[in-house]
Parts: sequence; structure tokens; C-alpha cells
Amino acid sequence: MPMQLTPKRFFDFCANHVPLLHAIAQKPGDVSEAQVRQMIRTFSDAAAEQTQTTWERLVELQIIVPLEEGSSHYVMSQPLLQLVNFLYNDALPTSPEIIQGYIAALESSRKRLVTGVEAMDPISVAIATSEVDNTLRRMQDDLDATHRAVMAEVSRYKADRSSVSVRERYLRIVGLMDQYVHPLVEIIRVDGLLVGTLNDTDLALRTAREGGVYTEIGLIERNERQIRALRRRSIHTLNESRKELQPLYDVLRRSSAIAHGATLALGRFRQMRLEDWVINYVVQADRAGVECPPTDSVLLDTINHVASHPPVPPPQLSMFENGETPSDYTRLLWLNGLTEAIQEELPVRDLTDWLVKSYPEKSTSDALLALSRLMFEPTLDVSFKGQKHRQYRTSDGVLEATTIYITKT
Amino acid sequence: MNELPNIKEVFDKLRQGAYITHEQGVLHASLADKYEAYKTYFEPLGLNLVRHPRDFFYFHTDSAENTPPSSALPAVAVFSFILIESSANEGRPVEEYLFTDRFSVAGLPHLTLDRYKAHLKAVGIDDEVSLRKLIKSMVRLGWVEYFNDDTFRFLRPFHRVFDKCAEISIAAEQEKRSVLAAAEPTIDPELN
Repeated sequence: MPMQLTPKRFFDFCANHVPLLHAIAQKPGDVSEAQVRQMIRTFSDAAAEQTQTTWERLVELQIIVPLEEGSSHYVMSQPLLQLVNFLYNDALPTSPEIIQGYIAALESSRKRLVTGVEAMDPISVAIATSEVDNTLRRMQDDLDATHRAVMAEVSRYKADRSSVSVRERYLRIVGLMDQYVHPLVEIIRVDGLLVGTLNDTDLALRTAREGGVYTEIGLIERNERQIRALRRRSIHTLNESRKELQPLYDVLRRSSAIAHGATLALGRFRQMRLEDWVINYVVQADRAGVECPPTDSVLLDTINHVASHPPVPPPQLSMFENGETPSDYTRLLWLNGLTEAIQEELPVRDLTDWLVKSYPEKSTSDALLALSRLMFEPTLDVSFKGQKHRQYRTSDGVLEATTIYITKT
Repeated sequence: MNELPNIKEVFDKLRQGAYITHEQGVLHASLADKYEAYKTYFEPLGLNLVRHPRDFFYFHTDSAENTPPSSALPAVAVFSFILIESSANEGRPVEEYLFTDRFSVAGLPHLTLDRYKAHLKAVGIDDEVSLRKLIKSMVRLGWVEYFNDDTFRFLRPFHRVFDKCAEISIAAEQEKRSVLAAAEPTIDPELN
């Protein structure tokens, strides 16, 4: 059990040792006792406080904690590290795995919420609602931290372009983009995993509110507001990150590929026969001179081109009318009537399923036309559930799609 | 087709294996304005007019692919690859640096490292004099402009070297991926 700290003493010490705390926070991994003492000598005023005293305070106030019981290696305590990072606007990007973890946590809370509402159990609903609140806050904080990390890296790149190699800058910028921003965008995009989970959680919260199971409506309403904000802000934040990184990403990706290609070509220069190396690695730049066109081969090519492409007669248009209703017209009438047909059954939880069951005689192409028509219908609101692909049988094939939820706007 | 402006001058320039860049002023403007028309005009003659994304033009002929390259080309390639590698190692943005700076032969990195010297020696370059001669031969390719004060700068068609490097890198990555995929062990259902 950690010793209870006195906030005033803790903050007084921190206020007097800001450069030291920042130096410890910036040190990657753990630090040994000797390293901490060296930092104390560098960043603290030895006249005002003995090194030994500062060291003892650091340990006593749990500013640094041993890696394990009895270890002589230390790390800054996690809550303080977060505070220092916040104060210095330093941030670490959040990995897609962490966000996926939050989504799983939200899904789990949602299930408990639903069960609680069904069982009319206000305690379960209260606990689940509070968990949703925590998860949403942490998710937004982490996404903001990713954005701050991106901005900091972009600033570092722009401020100092000469001291690090292309390879290192590539690893920083391209790594940030490939390992964090792109995968996060995939999760957070409109038809991605996050939005589907947020929609479901929103629905569960609404049911809890309308069902009157839980009396503290304030928390439920705050959750609903948070969900709306997170849905909007997460996409915005990541798009902003992507916009900041994209130009650097493009330039560095190409620069890195150019440098990599040059090094590879040089590396293989001594390993291959010169003729083979020239064929594979050299721009054929000085062989485009034309002596006397057109050459025999060009004439031959032209003759072959004409000979192998005999003229084709133009298509014949039927100028006769018969009594039958054209099939395209019938299809158009069907498509026009779809919006009205689905109105009575809204909300539909699985649009594709409704379509193939209501019109089993329709072909795959007709089903796709109908889907597009309904998805872009302005009076209807469509959302992708982001679940596993399902297969839907049409009269002449199979459609594979994620579940599409449709309701009135 | 007869309305194409400067067709004779454009053809004369390109048929020598040269590039038409912004430096060629009116010829470049004509080509940029009516690229498709020029391309269509040259096509029946077996001449493929290429517009590079960096906005310069050149002929690509299939028959030229089968012609052996000139003896200077390997040396030019080694020279270019060394310069690119060295610039990248120094942390410079390669394209920006090579196209905006003016270089002097004495300031080049080529004769500073044993590895670079060994590569150059293999293509007949072993001192500053032969290096200078090599750079001047790149003027003929349209890749370099050489100045009286013994300095030079790279011209836009040098982008073809960058393209080649990027192409080599992509091919190597693909090769690596296919080797890894082939080496992936198949799962024996009996063991499950």
C-alpha cells in the first residue's frame, strides 16, 4: 500500500524542481540511481538543497518509483508522468490496439447496460453507465494525445531538417503515419468499428433513459452528449493529423525509396556482371535517338495493326415497337417505389437482408441498384454496423456485405 | 495535324535523344499545350512521346531498348547513386537538395570514401579529372548544366534517375515480401 502523500508538500517540491522533473520524464525507459543523482546535480541548485536530500524527497514523495521491490532502477510514477507530459504538451501516440481495447470495453459495458435495463436493475445500469463515461473520456484523451504527438513531430521535422538522416526521419514520420494514423482512421471512419459501437451504445443509453430504470438521468445524458462529440471529434482530430502528416509522408516516402534504391543498386554493382547490372539498374537514357523514321519495323507494325483490326459494322438499333413493356422501364418503376415500400417497415436493422427477402426474384445487379437507391435516399438515414461480412442470396448470385441499418432521418 | 506548332523543331530536338524541358521555352510550351496531339502525330512512326510527371518530354522507342548502352552510362549511374546515397546519409532531402544546389567537383563526396572510390574505379573513374569528364558527359544526356566556374547543377530530366531508384526499391520490397510469403509454413490440419 503506497504511503499517503500530502498534496501541498508534493506540489511545493515539484514547483521548485521543474527542470529536474522534466529531464526525468523525458528519459526513455528506466533510470538508475546514479543517473538520477547526476540529473539532480545538473538540474538542481546544490546551494539550496543537498543532492542527497533531493534524492530522498524524490523517493519519499513517490515521484520516482523502483521498477520492482528493491530494484535500483527507477521510473517516474505514471500519474506524474502524464501531468508533466500534459504541461509540456508532450504526448505519445495511441496505438490502434489500445483504441480497439476501448471499443471492446464499450461493447462490454453496453451489453451490461442492456442486461441491466432488461432486468430493471438500476445498480448494474449505474455501473455500466459510469464505465461508458470513463472509457469515452480516456478514448478522447488518447486520440487528442495522438494528434499532439503528430503536431510535435511535424514541428520537430520542420524546425530541424538537417541533423537526422532520411532513414531516421522516414521512421519517425512514416512510422507515425503507417503505425498510428492510418490504422486509427480505419477504425474511426464513418463505416468503421468505432462508429458502429458508439451507435449501439447510444441506443442502449437511450433505452435506459426512456425505460426509467436509472434515476440519475444526468450521467446518461452526459454520456449521450459525449458519444455525439466523440463521433464528430475523433474523425476531425484524425483527419487533421493526417492532413499535417500527408505532405511530409509523401516526400519522405519517396526520398527514402530513392535512397534505398541507390544503396541497393550500389550494393549489387560488385556482385553482378556489368551487363546484367546495367540492364537492371541503369536508366536507359541515351538510346532514344531516332536515325531515320519510319523504320521497317514501324511499317510492319502499322501494317499488322491494320490487318489485325478489320472494320466492324456499327450497331443496329431496333426501329420497331411491340406491345410489351420494356424491362428497363419495369425496373425503373420498381426502383422508384422502393422508398415507399420500406417506409412501413422502418427501422430496418439489415437493409440487404430485407431487400433479398422482399424481392427474391431480383438479380444481383438489380439488388445492387436498389441498395444504392435506398442508401442515397435523402429521407432515410443509413449507418454501417461494421460487423463481419454476411452473405445474401439473390436469384442469380450471392452478395457479401456488412450489416446496413436504415431508419428515417 | 499540320497545324501543330514548331513540329519540325520539336522533332529535330527529340530525335537526337534530347529532352524538351522548360529551358526550351516555346517548344516546351507547344508540347505542354497540345501534348495529346503531338503524341498522336508521332505514334504511327513508332515514336512514343512521353510526358514525365515533372513536366518534361522525351521519345521512348522500343527498338532503342534492344540497342546496347553507351560505355559512359554505367559510370554515370554509379556517380548518381553515390551522390544520392551520400546526400541521404547526411540527412538532406535528396530531390530538393540535388535540384536546388550548385555543385563543384572538388566538393563532391565521390572520392572521400574507399567504398565509393572502389565503385568508381570499376567504371574507369579514379581521380578528379576523370570525374569532371564524366559530369561533362552528363550534359549530353540533358541531365546536367555545366558552368564556366567549374560548377554544375542538375536539370529536371535527372528525375529519371530518382524514378529508377524508387523503382529498384519497390521491386526489392516486393521480392522480399514474396520470399517471406513463400517461406511461410503451411498449417498441417492433422496437427490441430
